[in-house]
Amino acid sequence: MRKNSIINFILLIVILLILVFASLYFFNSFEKKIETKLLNIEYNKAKNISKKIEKFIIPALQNENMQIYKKINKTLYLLRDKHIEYLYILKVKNSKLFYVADGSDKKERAFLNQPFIPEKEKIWDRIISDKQIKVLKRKNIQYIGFTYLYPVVSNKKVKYIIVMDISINIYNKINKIIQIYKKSVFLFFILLGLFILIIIIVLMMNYRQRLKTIIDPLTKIYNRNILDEIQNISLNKKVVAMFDIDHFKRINDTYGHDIGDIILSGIADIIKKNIRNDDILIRFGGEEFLLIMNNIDKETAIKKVDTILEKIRKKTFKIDENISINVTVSSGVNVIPQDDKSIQDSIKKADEQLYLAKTSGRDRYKIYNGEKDIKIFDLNDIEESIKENNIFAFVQPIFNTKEQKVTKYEVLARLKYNDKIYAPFFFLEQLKGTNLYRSFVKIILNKSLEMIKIHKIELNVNFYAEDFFDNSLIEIIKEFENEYKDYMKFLTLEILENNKIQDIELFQKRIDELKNINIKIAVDDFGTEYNNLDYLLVLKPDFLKIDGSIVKEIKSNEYSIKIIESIVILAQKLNVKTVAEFVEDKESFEKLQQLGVDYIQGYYVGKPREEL
Amino acid sequence: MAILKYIIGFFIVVNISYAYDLSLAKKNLIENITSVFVKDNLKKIYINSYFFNDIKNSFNYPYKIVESCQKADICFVDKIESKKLLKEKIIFITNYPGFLNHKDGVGSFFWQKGRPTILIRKKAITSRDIHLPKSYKKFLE
Repeated sequence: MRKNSIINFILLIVILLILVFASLYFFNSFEKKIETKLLNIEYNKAKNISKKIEKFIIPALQNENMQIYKKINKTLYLLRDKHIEYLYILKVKNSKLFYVADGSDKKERAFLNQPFIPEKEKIWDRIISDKQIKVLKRKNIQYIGFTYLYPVVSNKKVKYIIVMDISINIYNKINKIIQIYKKSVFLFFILLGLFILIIIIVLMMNYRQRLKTIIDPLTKIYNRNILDEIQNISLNKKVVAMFDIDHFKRINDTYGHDIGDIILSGIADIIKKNIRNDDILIRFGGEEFLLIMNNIDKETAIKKVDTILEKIRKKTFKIDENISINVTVSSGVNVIPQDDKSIQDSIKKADEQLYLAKTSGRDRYKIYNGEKDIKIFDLNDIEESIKENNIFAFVQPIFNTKEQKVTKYEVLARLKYNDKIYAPFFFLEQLKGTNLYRSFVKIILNKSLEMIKIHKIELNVNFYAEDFFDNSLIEIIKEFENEYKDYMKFLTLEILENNKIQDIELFQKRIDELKNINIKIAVDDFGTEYNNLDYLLVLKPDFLKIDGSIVKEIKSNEYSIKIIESIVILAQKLNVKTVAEFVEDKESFEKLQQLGVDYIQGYYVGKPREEL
Repeated sequence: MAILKYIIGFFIVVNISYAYDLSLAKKNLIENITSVFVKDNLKKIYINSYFFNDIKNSFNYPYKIVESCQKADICFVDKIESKKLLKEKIIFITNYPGFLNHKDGVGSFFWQKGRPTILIRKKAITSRDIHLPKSYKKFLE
């Protein structure tokens, strides 16, 4: 970008120089034209006077006597204007010249028939031979700028020559005009130069200001302000990709924001190195990047995204001797943006795919290629579903290994839209933090408690830890307390901590409030993410749900068995019941029973269903 | 170079009125006439002319300004002081009426209409056995 601006600046200077030289060339030729034009005016004036003399005075010269000579001299004197220094008539006799009339002042006036000795004989000879008007530019005669010679021809011979010595002042006059013109042009150029200079400065300032507004200072790539400028670009032959650094918040929280910035810059550099100059890379949000690839087919674009993810995966950010960080990136790719109404729509679709990539386990890319089977809801869709009672509480059975029967169910929220049923990951992220979320929670809790009341069974309902920092969940539960007071003991809240808990005391207080009304607590996804052992101290849960990623490995990974074994022992010591989820086959089911797990959940036991 | 020419042409205001040194022109012409008419190494000149007096002090060797026409090889004068001298000396009268009035003078040299005029009498040249160069033939009366 800097290189481009230097080239543009040099180009501007070159254009300016060309303009200046072209103007100078034009000015010089124009100056000559002005001089010629002004001189031509004088020549024409001299010619007109000469013609009058030829017509009215020359015939009178036939009688050479003093009386007539004096009269003619007076007439010639009157014909002179301020630029004609001398006006006289020479007679040609045997190729020699003699004064026959002289309109000069008395001091300079020649005598009748006084010889005229020309200083440049050849020109005078030529006027006699070719009988044409001649103009002699003077350099060696005082006060005279040029001499105008007009031959008077009779019988094909030059008999007389009318001579006009034009004052040097005529050149001074021309000079003055040219000088005024020159000064005006010079002033014009100065003003033009200043004007151009001001324009250049303003443009450069605007350019710098513009760079500041569209360039992200950390990564030196565009920020999302650039979208305002490219919102009308054609989306043909383009591919839009969104990138998001996985677990970036964890990096910031663990190593600090300075290290986070190093990672952001590094990721931006890797993407930059793997794209072409005409591709547009934008820091879209905190750790999100938007890439608009130009003139590219979808196969090449996908390959490029794959390469970027691979290079990021392999890159180790060495912060110092002790800290090396490896990161992964998830990506959503929209390979058919040409079908979208605007760039915003294309970005939205790429973002939806990014969300899918995130919810599908991260470090991968998902592609939008026009297939409509996946729906990502916006808030209007969800509000519509809530209003039309299209929020459902599905249940999945949980097998009690001691009693060898299903004694519990996990409530799983579902949304019905256009006769299709959607799981929470299609809409829950959009819903969180909005007013609709409270309505949604209320519907799910209401449906759950109603099921408990009717069927007298235990139900687990999922919540994020952050839900407990908002008063609304507690308020909703308290609203239901009167009606369902005797059934609260059948309700277990499964808590998933997706972010590190900042206010432990408040969290503990809320949990205690729930326990006081006999609600049970389960720790979800135990063994991964933030769900560490110290979490048990705070929650003092009734159940531990072993994370599915550990359970899934039970058939092939010895460590998985040992971890589950350890969790079971730990849980027994703490008097907490264990639940293993994502159990999909008989072998795993039996193994988990052998390991002493209290409850088993998964497709092997039963799929989620609409009714009990 | 062409570009340089345009730049110089633009920034320097060209003065079309030509500088003309009248004194130098007068001096050069007197030296030129003297060289034609006086063959001695040291050429003594007498000037007594309203128009030429101002250049008296500008001559250097071999030209020397003397105090009287008597002592000079060539004289440039407004008026003829002695008819005798007119016949003996080479005298140029520095106005046309004087030239017309003194037929024995060698010639006339005066300034008219900003330009020099030289007129030489053929008879005086012949009688003094002076040979004129080709460039002076046009001045013969």
